[in-house]
Amino acid sequence: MIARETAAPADEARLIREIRSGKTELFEYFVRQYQKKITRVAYRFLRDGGEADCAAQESFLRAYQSLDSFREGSTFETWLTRICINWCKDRLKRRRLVLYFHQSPSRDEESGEGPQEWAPHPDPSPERRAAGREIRERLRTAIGALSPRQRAIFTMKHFEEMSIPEIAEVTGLDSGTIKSHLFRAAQKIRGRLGDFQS
Amino acid sequence: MDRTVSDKHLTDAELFSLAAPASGEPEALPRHLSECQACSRALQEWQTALRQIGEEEVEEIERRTPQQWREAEGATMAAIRRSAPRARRNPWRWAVGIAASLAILALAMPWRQAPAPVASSASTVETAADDSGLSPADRDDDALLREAAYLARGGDDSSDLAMEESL
Repeated sequence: MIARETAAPADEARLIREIRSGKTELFEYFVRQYQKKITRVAYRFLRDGGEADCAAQESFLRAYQSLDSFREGSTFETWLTRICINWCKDRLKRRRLVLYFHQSPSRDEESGEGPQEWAPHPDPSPERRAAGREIRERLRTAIGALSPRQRAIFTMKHFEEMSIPEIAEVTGLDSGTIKSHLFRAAQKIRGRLGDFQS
Repeated sequence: MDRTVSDKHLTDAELFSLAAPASGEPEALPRHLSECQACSRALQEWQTALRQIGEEEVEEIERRTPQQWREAEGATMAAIRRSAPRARRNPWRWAVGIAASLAILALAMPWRQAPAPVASSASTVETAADDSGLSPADRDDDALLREAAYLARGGDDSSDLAMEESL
């Protein structure tokens, strides 16, 4: 799974207080900690590297400018992620796109060469590689059938490894609704996989 | 292979449920997995496939070099610094601006001594004739322009020169 960057909340709280008092340069800590993570989250929504960079920079800028409104009970990472997702959603609306995600570009270019190289499978036999490719293809198809919101929540949970409370805070939905979306997403995927079952 | 175990092989839907629990929390693995190597291996394949799909979506981002990330971070901090309040960025610019404003006001003040009245005496009548239709701001501007013209004609007032340098 993709590793997450974390930092001691206590230190971040102190840094935020000092930045509020005028020490702008200390904000660089947060930029170094979360630039990659925020860019990755933005990329999942926007599917364009340049736009993801823009989204990340705008998110940090908004966070800096509204630092006074940051509640110390939350984590800076979660708050920043929420800012980023909201910015991406606004951006997508302006682009008049309904979907949060495009089709994965690698699907059209699927040659079976790229992903299989990452597979830590102990048995690299051709049969195992073929089985792995088939599973990925079926999963992609099934995940692609999710609604935009289900897919966004599924992605945040299983690809970005966010907890349910974090997803709730980022999306503005309550934990019960998040769990409900996750459950329905899983049901839908299972149903699709069942359709494929020979 | 144990016929009883093979009868209970996990379906793809079940394997997916274990790889990505619907509740979002890890679930207890069925006992069958500890008995069946094929299903245990299959679960690993599903978990790997799920991870790879997640990584594929952001491959362009994950491929970036540390140098590219440093540049991105630098660009972000540059934007932060540009947006920082002026007082935080350079407090001395604030002071210079105030000093410049005071200098311009001083130039426009009517109580200025010696050369100024001589230089402006010829234009006093003209000023009086023109003032009727001018706003206070326009009158201040006119006074400033008259001073500038005086200096251009060779007026030697060292305090005026100091004010120009401070601007």
